[in-house]
Amino acid sequence: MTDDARGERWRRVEGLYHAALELPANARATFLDHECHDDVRLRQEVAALLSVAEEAENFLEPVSTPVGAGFSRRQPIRLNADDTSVAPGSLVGQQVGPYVVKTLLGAGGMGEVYRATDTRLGRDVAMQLLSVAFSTEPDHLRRFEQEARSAAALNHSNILAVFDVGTHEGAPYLISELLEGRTLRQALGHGALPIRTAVDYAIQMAAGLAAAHEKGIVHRDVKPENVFVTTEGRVKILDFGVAKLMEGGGLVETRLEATAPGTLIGTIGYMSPEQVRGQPVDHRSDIFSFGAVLYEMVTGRRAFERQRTADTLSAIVDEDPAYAEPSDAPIAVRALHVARRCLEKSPHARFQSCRDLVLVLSDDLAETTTRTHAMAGRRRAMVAALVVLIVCLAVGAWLAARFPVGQAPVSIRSLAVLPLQHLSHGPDDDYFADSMTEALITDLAKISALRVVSRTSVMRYKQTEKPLPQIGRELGVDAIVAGSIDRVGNRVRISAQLIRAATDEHLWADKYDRDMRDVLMLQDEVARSIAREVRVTLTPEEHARLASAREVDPEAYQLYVKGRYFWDKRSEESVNRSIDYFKLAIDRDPSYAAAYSGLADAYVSLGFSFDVGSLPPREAIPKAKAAATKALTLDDSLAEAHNSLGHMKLHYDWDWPGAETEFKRSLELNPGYAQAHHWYSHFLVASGRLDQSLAEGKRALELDLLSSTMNVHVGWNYFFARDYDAALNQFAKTLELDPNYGLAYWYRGMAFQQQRRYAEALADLRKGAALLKGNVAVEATIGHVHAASGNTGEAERVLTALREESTRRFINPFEIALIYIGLGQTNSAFEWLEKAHRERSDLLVYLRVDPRLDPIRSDPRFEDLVTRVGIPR
Amino acid sequence: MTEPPSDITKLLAAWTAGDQNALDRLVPLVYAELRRVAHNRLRHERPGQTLQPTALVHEAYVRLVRIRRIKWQNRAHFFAMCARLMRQILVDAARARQFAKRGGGGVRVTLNEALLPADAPGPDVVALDEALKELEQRDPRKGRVVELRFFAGLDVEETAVALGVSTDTVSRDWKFAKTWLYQELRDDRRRTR
Repeated sequence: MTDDARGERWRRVEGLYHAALELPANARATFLDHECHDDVRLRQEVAALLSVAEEAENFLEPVSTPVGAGFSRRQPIRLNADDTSVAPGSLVGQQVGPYVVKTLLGAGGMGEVYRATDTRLGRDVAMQLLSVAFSTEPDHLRRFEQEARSAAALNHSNILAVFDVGTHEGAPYLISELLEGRTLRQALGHGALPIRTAVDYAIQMAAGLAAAHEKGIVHRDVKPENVFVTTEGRVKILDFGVAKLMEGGGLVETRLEATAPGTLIGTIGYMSPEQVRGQPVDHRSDIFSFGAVLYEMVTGRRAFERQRTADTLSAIVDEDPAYAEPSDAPIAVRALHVARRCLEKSPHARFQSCRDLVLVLSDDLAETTTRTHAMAGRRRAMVAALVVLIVCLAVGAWLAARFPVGQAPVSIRSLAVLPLQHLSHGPDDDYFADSMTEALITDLAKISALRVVSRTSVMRYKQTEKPLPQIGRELGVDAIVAGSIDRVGNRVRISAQLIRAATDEHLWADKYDRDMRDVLMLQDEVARSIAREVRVTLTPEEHARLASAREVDPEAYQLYVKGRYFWDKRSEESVNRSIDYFKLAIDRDPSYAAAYSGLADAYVSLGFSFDVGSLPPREAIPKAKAAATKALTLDDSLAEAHNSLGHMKLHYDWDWPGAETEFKRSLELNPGYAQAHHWYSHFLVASGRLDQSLAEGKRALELDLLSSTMNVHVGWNYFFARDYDAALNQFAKTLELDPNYGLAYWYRGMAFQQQRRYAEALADLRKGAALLKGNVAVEATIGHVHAASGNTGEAERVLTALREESTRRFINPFEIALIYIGLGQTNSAFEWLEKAHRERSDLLVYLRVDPRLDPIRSDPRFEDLVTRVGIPR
Repeated sequence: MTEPPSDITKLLAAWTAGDQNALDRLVPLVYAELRRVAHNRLRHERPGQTLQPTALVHEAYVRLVRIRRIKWQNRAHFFAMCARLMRQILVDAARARQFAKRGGGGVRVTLNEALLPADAPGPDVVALDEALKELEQRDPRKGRVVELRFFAGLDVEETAVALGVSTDTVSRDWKFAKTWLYQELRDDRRRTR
């Protein structure tokens, strides 16, 4: 047969098939006889297809399952008509164990439900019988047993009571209490429930779920179909068929198909975002689903309902619940508020326990219900509220305040994150714990309403045994976050707690368990939880920023973390090592913005005189700039990269407006970023805006109270403001904090010099030089002090040594110019200043304010230089 | 490392606007994600348990296309692309498993029983794939319809958009293809028994 002929034949078969299907079954044979004439094979082919057409109807199709009241109905398989092993209703009148089967109540996906009498106790019960056909499927049997086990473990008036299990002729059955009433789905048939009824049902649901959760059981399929309301108005939660015991850490795996196979549409709207994503779930997934049910009871609308499954899934993950017309009734407004909080995307942002929900909702009901209108559900609600109230009092009055209905706000406006302890002992765990601590600090610092102590200050408490209230006092904070971090393979687990510093009172604790890949999201999640717990308000922008973390390659992240660790040590060697790590991180993940930002910071350190300063700016800064620019191309919201870029625009480009824009952007992105306040303060000093610079410097210090850098920087500010007493005072404080801080000796020496206390100046500078081994700038300052004090011989000696040294390594020409100024050799001074200009020395930006330049200030060449550096007037 | 979702969305937009280069860049990204999702699921799967390709594609979609209101034509295109990839992934996985288990009692990767009449054990993915290839030889469009409807869970309307044909055509194709495949697989089973 040719291709054409084959195609023709195929079309013919199909045409006949469709045409025949249009006809009544008994007319098809005649039709085929007529159409096919003598072509027996054609006729056979079409007839064969027609014979299976009906069977094939559901082939490859998702199946929707008939619903039987009070019965587990998620089973995807239709009851098979050919399966005669247990015909529906066939058991009526029979004795099954001690039970006499009375009537068939319904037939569900995998068996039937009967009303039966327990002959021993003389009470009526419900019997769910799993059909033999299904009981041979291990999966179904397991589910059935799971339901029995979960429910039997629970004894609560808001959970369907399971009395017994057994088998009848190979078919397993389950005996439960017999309920009369309807499902919540049926009750919702006419839209929203009366608000008090809705809240009453919600309280009962929450109480039932709380009981399950306390037994470590997560329901995982809370939806109106699984909530039964008896004729007396009692709520019963049904169907623990997919419930799961929470394992060890309280997390269970979940899977889309385990929750709703075959019946995806219709029930999918109640899944939590973590279920949609196939992530592990804990009891807070039930709280989300509960929120969706409450939302629907109050508004009569589904929280997430889209025509197409994929859209519904997206909505659950990404969108807020559908807008609902606010009702006038305060109770409705509050109930909706509660629902919305349950529907937060992040489990940590939701109510954290069903007990809390019982309390909050009971309060709402109590507040809006007068005694005379007390309804059936109210007494229960009040009892529940009382019980919880006692618990609540035990936990502390704080607990009450954290709910939206509470009054007293928790005034936590400042906090410190103590170094997270690492529980695992891998070679990299120390870096890892430190970097997570730092990341948490960085995240929290982004919240403008919070003052968060910076890293260097808290790192001092790494091994400390000090009591928390004392640490709180030392750091001047309202609250302290402490916790631990554990890493097993690619899983990372953080447990964190929030403690009120003054009273040592435990405010909140939580555990987070994630894949390493999600480590950035994890940080943000913890930060948001803390923000919520301390009840600071996030601006929408801050919220978005905390929510924008992306996945990160775990290995790249590790490398980055090591890079930051070495960068922070700030010696020439360690900064060079950090560069290696940042580069490796970039190799591993070329789109990793933070790694570029780290690289930029490292090059800035190497090229900046007030830092390591071992490279000429012309060599270091272009590399830094390329890295920072790349970082910002990848992620424009990186405060660190904007800050680095501001630093370069100031010290290297001498682009003053550009620099200020970058600093401001950095601070806008992360108002609590001490380093940005610090460098912006440098900019303000150089610009001569000394009041502002001091304010920024102090803000940086406030954020990082125990940081030597921030401490010394405030003194450095006073130095340029020519308030030498204040400067000396601040340097002394810094040295009290860190007696081995070379920079503080160096700067104090400069301040002593301005007060003509040369001996003290030289003593400090020598200490500084010893501590900052290899920093030739201090040596140069010593030469300058000798010169200024009239010790020309010593000054010349230093000068010669430095000029010789400068042939071997980079020495900032500005430092040499300073010695010439001290010696009164103005021409040489300008020669070296010109050289400094050619080298784009970072120190030239301080020309206008540096008191050491006073002797040459009136020279026209000076003003010319100032103009060329572009220092604003 | 997966490319950020925004890029996927951009590429998707470029592709639906007719840029074939965008497709070349898109496919490996989507393939990687689908594979990841599927393998993740398969890894946790117990013997005898089933996979629902539709759920997998939806999951990948939710992960990849993090955009609020993507035009649904675009989405249909996205799913259309996923269908072929998902089919490939599942078949590969099933083959690998059969290979691994050969001689060890043979665990079959079945599709969800929900998708089949209760009295018939499901075809394994490999058998369905074979039958589908037969169908494609005879009638490529019908093969595509099955792929889209079954492996990506598109409805009739979406399938019509993805293939640029009428919904009537899709309905007829689907009906016929199901019957044909059903018969083919049943005959196949009879032959092997």
